[in-house]
Amino acid sequence: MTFREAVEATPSVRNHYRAGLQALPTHDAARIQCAVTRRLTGSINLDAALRQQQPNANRWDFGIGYLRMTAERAIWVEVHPASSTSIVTMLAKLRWLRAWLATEAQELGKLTQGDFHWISSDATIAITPNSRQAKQLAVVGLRGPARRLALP
Amino acid sequence: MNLQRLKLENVGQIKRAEVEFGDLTVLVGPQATGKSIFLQFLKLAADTGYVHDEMRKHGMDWKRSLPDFLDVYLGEGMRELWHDGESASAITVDNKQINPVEMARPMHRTKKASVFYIPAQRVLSLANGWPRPFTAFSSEDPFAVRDFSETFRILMEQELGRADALFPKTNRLKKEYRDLLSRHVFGGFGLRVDRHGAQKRLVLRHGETSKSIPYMAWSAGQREFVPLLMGLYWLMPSARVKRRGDIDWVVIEEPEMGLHPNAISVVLLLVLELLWRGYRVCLSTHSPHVLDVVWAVRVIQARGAEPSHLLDVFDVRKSEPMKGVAKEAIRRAARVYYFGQDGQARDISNLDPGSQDRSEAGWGGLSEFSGRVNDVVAAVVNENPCQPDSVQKHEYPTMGTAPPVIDEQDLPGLGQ
Repeated sequence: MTFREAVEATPSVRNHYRAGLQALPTHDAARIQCAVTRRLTGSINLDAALRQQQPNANRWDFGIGYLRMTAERAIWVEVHPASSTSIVTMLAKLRWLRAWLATEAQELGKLTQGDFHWISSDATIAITPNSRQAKQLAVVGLRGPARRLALP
Repeated sequence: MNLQRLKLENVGQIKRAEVEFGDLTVLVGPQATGKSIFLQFLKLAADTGYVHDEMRKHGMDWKRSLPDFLDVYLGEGMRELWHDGESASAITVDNKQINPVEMARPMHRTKKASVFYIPAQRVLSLANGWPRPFTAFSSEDPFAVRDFSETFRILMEQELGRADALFPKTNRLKKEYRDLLSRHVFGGFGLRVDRHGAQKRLVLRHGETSKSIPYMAWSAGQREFVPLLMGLYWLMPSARVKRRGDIDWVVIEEPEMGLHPNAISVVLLLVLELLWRGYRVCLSTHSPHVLDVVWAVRVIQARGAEPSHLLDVFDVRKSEPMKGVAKEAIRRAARVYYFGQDGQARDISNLDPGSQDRSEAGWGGLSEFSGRVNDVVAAVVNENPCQPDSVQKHEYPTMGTAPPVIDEQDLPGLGQ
């Protein structure tokens, strides 16, 4: 199944598929770099798509379709200030995303292979790799925070 | 001495290292990349007259020969690191190139030291619990080690050796430092001058009545720390005198040596005290702790935040004297240089964890390993969801199965 088909198979977001990185605001799309742009098969703005349905949830920001070899996979990106005070929020967002993929978006869940990335919305990244906070992220499978996501 | 910038080219492992000094300058990088050589040349550039005078005073003669001089100054065999011809070695101080022959030629220069150098091998200064004199070392040993040991010896003979108690000592170091050192380095023991027959020696003792613990029975960290403490006593003559004589600069190689991170934190607090006292400080380090502190200083500076936030890093009481130390530290410029295995030194002062420059993002390799571990752990967690029966609270479900059960209060490090 492709990323587009998986989005369209998910009732709550089926009309929110966009080609390339068009679902992302321009300034957030600029944080995603891809050496071969045709590998970016589509995107979805989860935060916007589910705002009305789940206004109080810790909604995740974006999903991106990425063609790796011959199969597509879903890459999940949250753009958020990168400081240790954001750790609890980020963990809540990841927990929400995993629950959503497991219960409401199972086709997207099948394309998900652990690509959960935290991209800093600020110029400053206030979490160092040797910090306790960075280890808290690693142990739940969240990568980052980084200033940008570079895809091959 | 108002030395602002030092450049070494083609000296030993160093191809090109140009450092613009801050009030606090930190050198990081793998072993054998020239950090110590660089710092010893800083000492030489600042204190040529003093170095010559001390070496002559102790019977050394290098016959005005630069190779011989380098052998006695840097240690036997070190003449090899300076060479002529193509890619000739060069030293430039504040944009003025120094004639290397001048370094070996005795001149009428100031004979007072402006740089106090605490070498990585400081543990060698203590033999059987008492500091060794300059001449007790062999020709293999660098001047920096001999000179430090000799200073330590003079301090013991002229200022401290007549007192019984060396630590804690009320007129040395602020109470906050004494309390932290007592807890994190000495474990409640005191440092005393004891007599074994006619021989004085440094010992540790718990209370007045307990038996003395001689030098060789100390922990490795205590053996490393006591010479450092004596160096700091030298630099902080008493509670009422801010600085020692003509000393402007303090060089400390690997201040973290042998110490637990809690003890390293106290040493770094003492480094801030040195800044408060008006010294310029140069450190070399392999400890991410040191750069953690520099990072915090720079972020507080950049954000214009309240300086006393810096004291939260050290978990120290926000007394007025300590607030003064933090305020001064935030006022002073801190710089960090990475000495790479390619022989180049790079300015990584921003310490930006998101930098595109790997040496800066990885803090000169000090946090790179942790970053790699984090990446591997994240990948392992995502590729290998926990089995529901094995770890109930930490399971990460395979996509498309049951909802996740992640309770951040139960995750490592959270809720503490």
